[in-house]
Amino acid sequence: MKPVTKALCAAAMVLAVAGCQQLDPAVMRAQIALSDFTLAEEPLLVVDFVSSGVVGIMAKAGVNGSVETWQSPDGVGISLDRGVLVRTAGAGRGILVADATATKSALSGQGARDYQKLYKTLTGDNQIAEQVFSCRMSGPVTEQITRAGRADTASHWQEACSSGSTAMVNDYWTQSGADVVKSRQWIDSVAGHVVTEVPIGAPR
Amino acid sequence: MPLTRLKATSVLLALCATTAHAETMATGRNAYGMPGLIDMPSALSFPDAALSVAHSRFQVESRTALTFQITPRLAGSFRYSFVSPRFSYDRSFSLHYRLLDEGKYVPAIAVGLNDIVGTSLYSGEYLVATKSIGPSLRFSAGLGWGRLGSLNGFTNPLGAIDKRFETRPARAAGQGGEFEYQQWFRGNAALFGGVEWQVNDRMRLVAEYSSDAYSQQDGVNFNRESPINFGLSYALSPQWTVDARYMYGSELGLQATFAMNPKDRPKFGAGLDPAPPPVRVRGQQALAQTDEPLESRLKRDLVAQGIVLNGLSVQGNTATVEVTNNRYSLNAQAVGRTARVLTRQMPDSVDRFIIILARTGMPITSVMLSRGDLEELEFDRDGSEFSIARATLRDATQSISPLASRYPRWGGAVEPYLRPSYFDPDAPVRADVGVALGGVVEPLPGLRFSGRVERRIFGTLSDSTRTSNSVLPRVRTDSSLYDREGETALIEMTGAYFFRPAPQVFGRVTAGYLERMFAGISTEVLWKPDGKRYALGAEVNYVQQRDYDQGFGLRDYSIVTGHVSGYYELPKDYHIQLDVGRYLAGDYGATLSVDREFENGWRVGAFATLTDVPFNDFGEGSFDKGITLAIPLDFVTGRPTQRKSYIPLRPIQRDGGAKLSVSGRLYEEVRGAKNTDLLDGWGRFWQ
Repeated sequence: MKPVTKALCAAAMVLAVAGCQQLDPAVMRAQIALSDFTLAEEPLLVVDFVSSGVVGIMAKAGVNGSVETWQSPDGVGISLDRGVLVRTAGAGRGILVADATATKSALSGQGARDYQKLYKTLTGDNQIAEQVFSCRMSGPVTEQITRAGRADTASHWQEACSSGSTAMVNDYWTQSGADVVKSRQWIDSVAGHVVTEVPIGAPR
Repeated sequence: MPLTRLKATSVLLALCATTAHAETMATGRNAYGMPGLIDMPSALSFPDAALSVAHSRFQVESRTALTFQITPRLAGSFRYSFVSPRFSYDRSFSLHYRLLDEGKYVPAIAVGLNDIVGTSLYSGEYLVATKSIGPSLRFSAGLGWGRLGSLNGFTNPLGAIDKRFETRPARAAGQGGEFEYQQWFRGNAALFGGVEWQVNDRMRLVAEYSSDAYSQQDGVNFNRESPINFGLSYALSPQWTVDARYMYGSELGLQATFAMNPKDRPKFGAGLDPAPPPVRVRGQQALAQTDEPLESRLKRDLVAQGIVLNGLSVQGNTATVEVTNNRYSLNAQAVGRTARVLTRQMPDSVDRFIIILARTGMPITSVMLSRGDLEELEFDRDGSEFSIARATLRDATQSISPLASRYPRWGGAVEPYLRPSYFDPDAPVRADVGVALGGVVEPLPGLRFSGRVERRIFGTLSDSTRTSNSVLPRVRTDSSLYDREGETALIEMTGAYFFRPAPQVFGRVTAGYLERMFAGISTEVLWKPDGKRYALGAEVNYVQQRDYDQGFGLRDYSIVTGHVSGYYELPKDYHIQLDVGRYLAGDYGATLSVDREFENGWRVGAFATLTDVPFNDFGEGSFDKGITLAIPLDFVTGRPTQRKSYIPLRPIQRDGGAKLSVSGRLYEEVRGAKNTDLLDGWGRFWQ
């Protein structure tokens, strides 16, 4: 396996997230799968914007309470509250803020299974738009998963939400309680989903 | 943006559009670019703020229409047509107002006026009703006057109210461009109507009975064999629609339409701005250990965000910075990013930030933020709303001491330029392309020297052989001489001083070569109180006309010109401005501008100027009027920038009602950083 160095990450991120045409997402995924993340010097997150096919590795840029902000060097970022997506940045259509409170409770197995979840977005005219989803959390189911190209076992939770004619599904895979190690989360109807994977062995 | 992302987005957009079409039938666009069938109107409206350019043509004429849904009920259109009987170009305006919405049993009803201030070639009025039956069938029927009452007309039913409605008076002879209201809804009336069938999500079939006899063209350029027209409309994408038509039993017609909505940015949402630096939370993340001085760290981090640090002062637990936003179209975003940079670089003991926004070296507004609030609200579900509520905004009249490294500041750029000119009857579009060299020097806060030289590389502006026939001082109608002689032109060379004479008051003095045609001195003062939607300004200029070659020489004509200006921001994005004063040709009068301004920087507006110059002396068009469009570049590219493309569309530029074009006018410089605009744009604080 190739070691992961900061340089590789930076180069890969710049190429992949900034949209360099030479690296297609499949190549990027393959390269990530070959990497040994135990050699990484800082926390890293593999991020895959499914609809756009943009794959990259992000570094932790900040922590605020339970929210971690991850960014690529070219300015694409996501913020996760204990693994639950609360903001996207630099990727065009995205989330201004999402309320993760009820989702976090449900993932811990303590909270209600049915709840409401608020998403706020900024419109093309810079107005704040709100959408409240009715959600139901199901799971957990123990599953074999891959994260950053390597096999693992985790508990699968599925959050099915709807608001008017919009329906969406978020998937979370957790280990040892509510620690989200992989997720597939909805951004909006145009931007689609983002997949996050905590690489095995990378520092947390 | 990678190609893969673009493709994926476009596909999704197309799918969304398909869904939208399936729900309701889209409003059709007629050959005038207005809500309608083929050549006839319907009673519908476009979505609020929809903006379109439609080009239609058939044997008799071609029309290019810029149409805007001004309010949810009122649509307006400016049209430029090539009319074959005269082989001439014609400019005209139309308005369409939806009086009544469609109900379960009642139809939508609209009233419209075609060619309200033009040559009256298309002069016609209508009252029309439209009713849908089921999800895919729609009928329209209406009563037309003027040109729309020219086929099988009958005695005007409005004659029951007043017999004078039965006769349409002749158009008042003149220079065109006047409101011919004495003709409206008078003379014979005629019926028109049609049916539309939405075949599928993209295709619509239309048949109509037209009440337009094309009396000037019938038998000359074409033979109007039948009043029945057939059309097929096909939506290629949410933006592009094409129409194919069989017109008047003898001719084929085609139309292409590009439509968009300034309020929507489907591809980029709120933009592709690179992610901001996150807040550093004290106690959770330590300040990075470094020997680099605070000032240099701040400058570097702010520059990375497109923000210039003018001054810095840390006293006790309060840090004050003065910054200039050079990147974001909304200053709230610059304030938000500056605040986050401060959390990352200020020692933990600082718990209050005062951010002074400056423009052209002039302090405008100070925003006081609690560092604890930033830490607490960064990911709060109501973080935007609470951060507004907890911020303190004040008028800032005093700068803080500038950094030693801030002044003097130099800047320069070489860039290509495009100078278009529209509506010359000999060539509807002319343009020059060239290279421009611009430079700015700021020796002290508020003082700016700037210049711009343009060198034409190629173009057609100088091909114009039109000579001015103006009886007024030729303050604008000699433009073709300026085009011809100014192959290398000093467009501007000025010194300007911007200052704060009093609270809520802004001042400017500019001297030098102010614009292509005039040099002199320009002074301005603006009162824009905090928290108010109004502002008042006054400008006095003494200028002398410049030589046609746009070198340093001057001509004999000089004038004192200036205005008192009132500005008012109406609810729902509308903005009005009234300027009263003396214009460049020495005429006295007023200009009224009404704009719809969107939070993302789009602006669509119209203006008209009436002065004491008689319509006959003014010349063609009778008085100065036009349309303005401002397109923010970040809307198009997704990348943050303050650059905008301004497109003024004047049917004709004459000498009456002409204003000096001086750069740095205070209202536009200042308002974005004043508290009303800051609060309106606060949604971008966390962007």
